[in-house]
Amino acid sequence: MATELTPCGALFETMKRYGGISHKDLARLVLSGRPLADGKSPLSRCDDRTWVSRFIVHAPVGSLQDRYFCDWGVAALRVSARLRSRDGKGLSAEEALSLVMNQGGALMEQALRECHQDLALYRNVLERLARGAGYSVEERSELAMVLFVAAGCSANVKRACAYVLDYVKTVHGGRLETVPAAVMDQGEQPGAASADPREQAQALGLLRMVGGLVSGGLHWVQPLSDGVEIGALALGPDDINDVDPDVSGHHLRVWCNEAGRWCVQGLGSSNGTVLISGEDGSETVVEPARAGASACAEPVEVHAGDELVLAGSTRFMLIEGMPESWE
Amino acid sequence: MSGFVDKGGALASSGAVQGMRLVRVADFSAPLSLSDADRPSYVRRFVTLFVSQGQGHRGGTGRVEHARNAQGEHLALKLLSLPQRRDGETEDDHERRVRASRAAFEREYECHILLSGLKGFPRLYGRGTVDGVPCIVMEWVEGITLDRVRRQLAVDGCGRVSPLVAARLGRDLFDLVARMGYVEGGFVHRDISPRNVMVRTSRLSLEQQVDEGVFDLYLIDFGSSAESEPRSTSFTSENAVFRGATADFAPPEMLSDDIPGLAELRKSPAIDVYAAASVVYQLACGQAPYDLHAVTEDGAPVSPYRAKMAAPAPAAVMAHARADELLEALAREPEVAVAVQHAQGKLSAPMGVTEAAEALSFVDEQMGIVLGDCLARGQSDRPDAAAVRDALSSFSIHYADNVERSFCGRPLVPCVPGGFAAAALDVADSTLAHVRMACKGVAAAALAGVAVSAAVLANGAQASLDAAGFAWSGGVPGIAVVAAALFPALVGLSLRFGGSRTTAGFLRGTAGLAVTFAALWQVLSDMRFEAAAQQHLLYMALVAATAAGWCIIVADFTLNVALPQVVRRKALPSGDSGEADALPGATAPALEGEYDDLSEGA
Repeated sequence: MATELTPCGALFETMKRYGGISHKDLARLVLSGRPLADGKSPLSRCDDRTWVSRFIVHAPVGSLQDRYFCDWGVAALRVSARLRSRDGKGLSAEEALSLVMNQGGALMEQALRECHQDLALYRNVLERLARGAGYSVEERSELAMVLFVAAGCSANVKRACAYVLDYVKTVHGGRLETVPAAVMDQGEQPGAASADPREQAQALGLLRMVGGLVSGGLHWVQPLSDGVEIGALALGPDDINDVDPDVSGHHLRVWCNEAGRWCVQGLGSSNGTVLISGEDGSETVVEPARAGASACAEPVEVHAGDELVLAGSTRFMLIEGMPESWE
Repeated sequence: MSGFVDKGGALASSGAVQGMRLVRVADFSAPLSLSDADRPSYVRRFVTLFVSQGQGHRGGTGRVEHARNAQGEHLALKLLSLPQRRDGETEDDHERRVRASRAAFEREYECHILLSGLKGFPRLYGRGTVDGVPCIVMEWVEGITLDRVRRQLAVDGCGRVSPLVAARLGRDLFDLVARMGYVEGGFVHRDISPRNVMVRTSRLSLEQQVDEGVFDLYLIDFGSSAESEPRSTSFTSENAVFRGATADFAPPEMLSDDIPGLAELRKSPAIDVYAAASVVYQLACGQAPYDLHAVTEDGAPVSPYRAKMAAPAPAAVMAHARADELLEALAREPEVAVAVQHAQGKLSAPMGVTEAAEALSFVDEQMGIVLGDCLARGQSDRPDAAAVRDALSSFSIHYADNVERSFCGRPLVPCVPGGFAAAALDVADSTLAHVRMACKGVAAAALAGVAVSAAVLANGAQASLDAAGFAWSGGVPGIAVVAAALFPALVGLSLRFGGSRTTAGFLRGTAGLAVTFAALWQVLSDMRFEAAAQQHLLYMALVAATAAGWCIIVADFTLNVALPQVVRRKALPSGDSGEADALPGATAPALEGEYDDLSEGA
């Protein structure tokens, strides 16, 4: 193509070549209906091919303004929906994801490179979104599309990434912000692997449960801290001593290990601790009762959703995410 | 009944964690296939939930609770409400009812699977049991039901929403309805009502969405939905627990059990078209199409089926119809107010409130006609959802343009999809302008000819006037004859001033013309001419000049107002199903052609 490829052009070209959405149709999905200074909205000009071509698709990067586009997240959802429901010949979620990752991804990266954007950041975020463990393919392709559309509309990787991370936070409680370990290992950036994996882990919250109801305060443990202790006589600043009387003075330690995983370990309590898995409800003994102060139990890995039962009666649910979203 | 908590825009998360109840979902199964690596962390997201106390709402088949998982995500947990045993009911009967409601819940889940993942339908995460009671885990939709949206966006005392906003909401609602048709085998919701449609507000607030002109709509509660072509036909009557649709919005075929071919009728997507049109009608007019609370003369309530079959839906009366409330309404719809201001700027003199209301209603009427087609009593007379969506989309895109056209008396861009009709009308528009100018030119030439020739012929004629204490005699000056001949036309045109493109202006002009004509006729008959032939000549000249003057006014009216109206009506999509079917097909090739054009334009 003779003209310079802009991120917005890459967005339109990708959808046309691989998604079968014409420029005019895509313009209908992503342009704003809010009137500009002349009283006409960009959306109302979709039928004007020359206008779409000149002022949107092939517009120089600096001339495109945010107010031309509707909310990126909304636009991305519309594009996803459109891709998947084209009168019977729609794309599956996997195909939509691959469109953003492979064919379209190359085009977008080329365009972003041409306007001197930080490609490494774009790739990192896209990779995280596309591989988020525990999410269905649909959810992942939707999130990748949000980033793709945001990058196309803003032509600015930093803003697009900030937007998508905020989007993830509101929609999924921020869980995708952590990089799955698998991504870290395969990361293309040499610097990434050497960073402390704990920086990527999310804070762990402990919720005291009484009779099936949340009761008492929510205690957060930060991954980079030394962890906290639970016990009737635990005195540290963040320690948790909101427990029943049969819990030992120093009962259990919770911390984030070097690999960025959360662990618990018995501290030689007299009444022991049991872990109930949040996945299938199976029980694991963290420390048997009457183990005696000398026998120190092995550390056990825990996840959000698990439940800790101390001394048979004091229960804590483990949660994760952004502390502010739980307040 | 809405299955989702309507928070009126407030975030549900504002409630503290305190008091949330721990719920474990047993026998969890996901509606999608997961790889072994993904399964554990996917399942983990949905089996341990914290349910907010006291936020639940009863749905049709169950109760929906707001829940959060250990990751902090917001989810909806729908639990089946098992029927209570009634007094005097046998164990068997109760057992049967429990089985039936379990089957209905099951069917709701099956229907929901088909739509999950499509935009506008809550995503389904899986199902399981909580203490033995079946449950469904799905996306939490934070938003406002249309019921409440209507009250928040009302522009007048009757709860009407701006026609432009109603059309946009309608376009997005019909988009959802059309999308249900893409599902393999088709899908019918059967209970579309303002309580079952939500505007999601978690991304953009309602006000932002109004500004943006696009709404994030969600269709919820699939308790009475059905696949158009059920894969298994083994439904027994025991399984088919059917929940009644909301009578105000349901089509007649959902309101009576004794119609021939009922089973087929109830699987038609036309049901949703009718209901969705009723919802849009209520948004635009402040009330549902039929008043089902009315009673007959002898005080008996009217059956909803009879009411809906007895007469076509009354024409939509929208927010701009009443001139005395127009300014109040415009104050609450800035976008229309700006369009009106623009249009006023194009006129030589600003239009009065009555005419402005008329001109706006003229534009709004297009939507009324589309809705009227959807509210047809026979299913085959209703257009399909995609055609309605395209019509409403075109209506809202061209709204500002059409307001200007209506104010200037030019024919409106019809809300038919595709650019051809609009382009054809634009051609017709300029042709019309030429025809109008030609007609007016001929009429003006005739008027001048009559005036001048009468003046020449009657110049210097001896005459006398003696009426009402005023006496005059002498030669009639030619210039006075010219003035008298032109007078009716001038009075008519000046009285019409600014209203050359409205019916009211036409009537004013005509009246002025007629009154002046009568007055001059009276004056002429009071005069005594020496030669009677000259008086007859002047009578004839007066008639001819008045007629020519009226021709100018008539030409403006016919070609500015009456003819465009006819043209516009013809261009509207009719309820004729053949035409409606042709519409989506007609747009598709046009889009394909786009490819080459734009590449060349690059």
